[in-house]
Order: sequence, then structure tokens, then C-alpha cells
Amino acid sequence: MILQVKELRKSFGDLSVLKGVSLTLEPKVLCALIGPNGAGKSTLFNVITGLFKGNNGKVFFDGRDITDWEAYRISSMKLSRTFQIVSIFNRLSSFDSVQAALISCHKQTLDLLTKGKGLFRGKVLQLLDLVGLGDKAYWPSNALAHGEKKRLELAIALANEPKMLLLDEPTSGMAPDETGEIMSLIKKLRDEMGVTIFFVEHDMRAVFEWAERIIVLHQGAVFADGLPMEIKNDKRVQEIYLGSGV
Amino acid sequence: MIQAAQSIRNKGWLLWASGLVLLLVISPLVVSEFWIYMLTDIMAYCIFALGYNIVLGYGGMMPFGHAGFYGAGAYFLALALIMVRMPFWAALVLAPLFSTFLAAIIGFFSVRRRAFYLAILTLAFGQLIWSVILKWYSLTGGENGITGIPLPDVISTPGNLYFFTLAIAGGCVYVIYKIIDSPFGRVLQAMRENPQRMEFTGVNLDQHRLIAFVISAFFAGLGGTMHAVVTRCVFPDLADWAKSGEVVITCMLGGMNTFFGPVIGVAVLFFMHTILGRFTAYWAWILGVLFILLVLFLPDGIMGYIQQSRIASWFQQRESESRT
Repeated sequence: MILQVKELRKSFGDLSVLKGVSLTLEPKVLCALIGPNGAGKSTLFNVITGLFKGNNGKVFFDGRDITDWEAYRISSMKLSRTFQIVSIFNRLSSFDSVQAALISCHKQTLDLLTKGKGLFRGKVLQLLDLVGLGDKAYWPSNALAHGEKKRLELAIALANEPKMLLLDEPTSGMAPDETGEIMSLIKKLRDEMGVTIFFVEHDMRAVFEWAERIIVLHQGAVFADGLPMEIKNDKRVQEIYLGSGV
Repeated sequence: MIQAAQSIRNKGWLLWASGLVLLLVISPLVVSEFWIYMLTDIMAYCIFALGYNIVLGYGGMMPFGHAGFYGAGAYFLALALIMVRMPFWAALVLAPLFSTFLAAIIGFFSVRRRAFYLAILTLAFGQLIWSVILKWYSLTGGENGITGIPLPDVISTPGNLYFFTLAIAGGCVYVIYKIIDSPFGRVLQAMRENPQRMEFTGVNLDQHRLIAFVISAFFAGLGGTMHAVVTRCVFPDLADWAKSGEVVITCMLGGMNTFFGPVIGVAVLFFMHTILGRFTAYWAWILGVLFILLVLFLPDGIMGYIQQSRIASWFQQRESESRT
């Protein structure tokens, strides 16, 4: 397995958000994490990636115990993520944004002597082409449309050459066509680069069309875990989350 | 098309830079001794401002105690030459390194804090340096400062000192530019825009902030050292919080998000001090009003405004090209 979460708990004051989450993910899986609002999906991502410290429990990634590690150390283990609210470098160009992430990936962040301009040019343009931003490489990031910003954030995460990607609502705010494009790209990353994908998504069409495995989180605990058809036909899941229309 | 535009822009910059260098080289031949002295001091201050802008403009931090490093460099040089009788060139090298050493200690405690807390903490450390300078009378001379700093014969004339300072300042411009353009500089700029995003690509934020802080303190120390060389005297004001505020103003005035913005800011500051100071003792009031107007109407500073106009025209050009 590439990721193992054991009895993870997280509270904010009296509010208990994660109440003992346990799950495992096999390498190269395309797994969706779903659940009603407030189920603890983003909090789970935040604890796994080191943004928050858990109160209890363990997280193992790629054979190592990463519980309570600093976020930058976890990222160095090739565990990348994107955020629910798009998180990019507003005043940098798309090129400079991806280049900065590549510099970090290649452990050159303390290099004061090498010329930075044009560094990793080929790789940067390749990544921007991959996410469909090749023609806007020199645009300031804040001049991009919302969907393009999401793509750029994905390119920044990919520059870390991740073994695993945690994507928090990668298609939120996108039109159906664009959602398909992004999900197709995510599947391509798994198929061609062998990246394990774990994503939170509210668009149920996208989830059932693209995910190979679905984990349902409810009230801070894993409620169901299985193949898309199993989840779709699980009456308990329908009751708590999907509604009778599915 | 983009490459062609880039090439024209580069040629434009080359032309500007060549003109500026030519102007600086011939200036001592055509201006009075007073202005040679002024220009020399301006260049020394530019080292301080450009160095400070590494943390302010490129690092997105606003430490408020850099005058402490400026003053420490100046006093180290003065004391090394007068009290220890150290060779001038050794003192010149060691003085900014002393500021760097202080910055490593102060930065270690300060850069872990963000925004307001960083400003206050560095202000406190800066004032600590200032109070040591002011109160340790037997060593520093207190309010009387230290005067009569000896210089080697080779730079004792105004003209030679001017060219010596020009060479040091030119070297600093080159080194700072290289740092900003290095992989470290590029990561620093990304950290300024979104530290959390950069942390999630594997960057240890505190470590990189500390390095930027220490580098900027080196240039602050060198600026102070050169100021002591130029004026041949040092006073406690060099390390005072007002000096720390002054360098923030010069960077913001000129445009902290541009490389040469701080140089423009320093030029405006010295111009107001020297020219307006002749007519009124309240020149700082005019500077204050100018600063308020700039923050309100040109928040990116003078150079920042020019750069933004260039970017806007680039977008307009792209838009018109895409229509045709």
C-alpha cells in the first residue's frame, strides 16, 4: 500500500471533525473521497499532508510514518496536493510558478549561483502543455480564468513529480466539458505516470464516471468503501448523501 | 513575436543601462565637489536599499530593524580602524560580515514570526543595537559618535572615493541581481506570493526566510560601512528606528516590486533632503505628503507604475493581435 491512515482523530476545540478515520490505498489507484458537507474530507486531506496536526492516530506514506511531519517534509516525500480554494502565485507568470515548484523538486532552492531565467524551460513548458496552458505560459497567473487557475495549480503539484496526488475538488466551478477534460487528464496521469490519485469531488457524475474506488466519509468516519457500483447501490449511502434520485 | 518583443525590451534596457553608466562615469568631471560627495553617499545608501528590498520586495517580509545592521557595519569599521587600528581593507571586509553575524542571530528568532510580529520583533532587536551604540559611551562615544575615520591614500580624494564607491555599488547591483535571478531568488518570490503553496512543494519556509534576511543584512552592513567611509564619521542615528523606516519608504516610493525601484526612492529622498532642505526645515513633511499620495494613487511606487503600464500595453497589444 502507498497510504495508510490509522484511527486518525482531529478536533477543533469541542468540535470533533475526524473521529477515528482508517483507510488504506494501493499504489496507482484512482480513488474518490465523497461525503456530505462537514464530513471531514478536507480536514482529512489537511492532516495527511501536514497542514493540521492530528490529535491521535497514525499516517503512513510510502512505507514511512509521516504522522506530525512538517508539510514541506511530507511534500518532499512526493506527496503533492491541490486545495479546495485555488492556491497559486498570483503575480508570477504560469511559467515562473511551475518553475519554482520544479526548483524545489530538484532540491535547488538554496542555489544562489545558477542563472534562474530559463531553468527547466523544457520541463516547465511540457507540464503547461499537459494541463492545456502552453499558450499562456507567460501570462500573470491572476489574469487566468478560474478553470485555468485550477489547471495551473495541478501543474504546480505535478512539478513535484509526485507518487501520489491529493486533489481537493479539482473540477469545482468548471463547466461540464472542462470537468471531463480535467478528469481525463487526471486518469492519464495515473495511467501514464503511475501517480496514485485520491480526490475529493462533489460532482457525482464525475465521481461515478472516473473513480475506480470510492470512500464515503460521514460524520468524521469512513462510512462505506468500495467499487462505484457498490457505493451507488448502497442504500445507506443513498440515504445519507446521494438522495433517492440516484 | 514574444521573443522579438523581448529582444527590443532587452535592447532598451541595455541602452538605458549604458547611458546611466556613462552618466555616472562622467559625473565627477562635470559636477562640483559637493555633488560628487552627495552622489557617493547616494550610492552607499543604494546598497542598503537594494539589499533591504531582497526581503521587502522579493521576500514579502517587512523587518523594521535593518538600520541596526546598517549602523553595526558603520560602527564596526570606525572602531576597527580607530580603536584596533586594523588594516583598512580587512575592516572593510569584516564590517558587513559583523552585521551578517548579528542578522543570523536576530533572524533565527525573528523569521519564525510573520507580518506584524516580525516587524515588532526586528524593531526591538534594532533598537537594542541602537541603545548599545548610544549608551556604551566609552566604546562608541555615545551621542558624539566617532569622527575622523582614516582612509587609505588611494581613496582619500573625492574623485577616487567616488569611483571606489561606484565600483562597490556596481558590484553589489550585479550580485543582488544574480541572487534575485538565481533559483533561490525565484523560490523567494514564489514564497512572497503564496508561502503555503510553496511549502507544499517541499520548501522549508523559515530556512529560506532566514537566508534572505541574512543576505539583506550583509548589504545593509556594507551600505553602512560605505557610508562611514564616505562621511568619515558615525553617529547613533545610523542605527535608529527612523533610519529603518526611511529605507522602507525609499523602497516603497521607488517601487519595491521592481529591481531598480529602491534606487529611484533613494534618489528622491536625497533630492528632497538636499534641495528642499535648503528652502525649508520641514522638507520631511513634503516627503510625508508625497509618500501618502503615492501609497494612495501609485501603490506600486514610481518604477512599479511604469512597469505596470508596460504590462498593460503588452496585454493590449496581444488583444489587438488576436483580433486581427
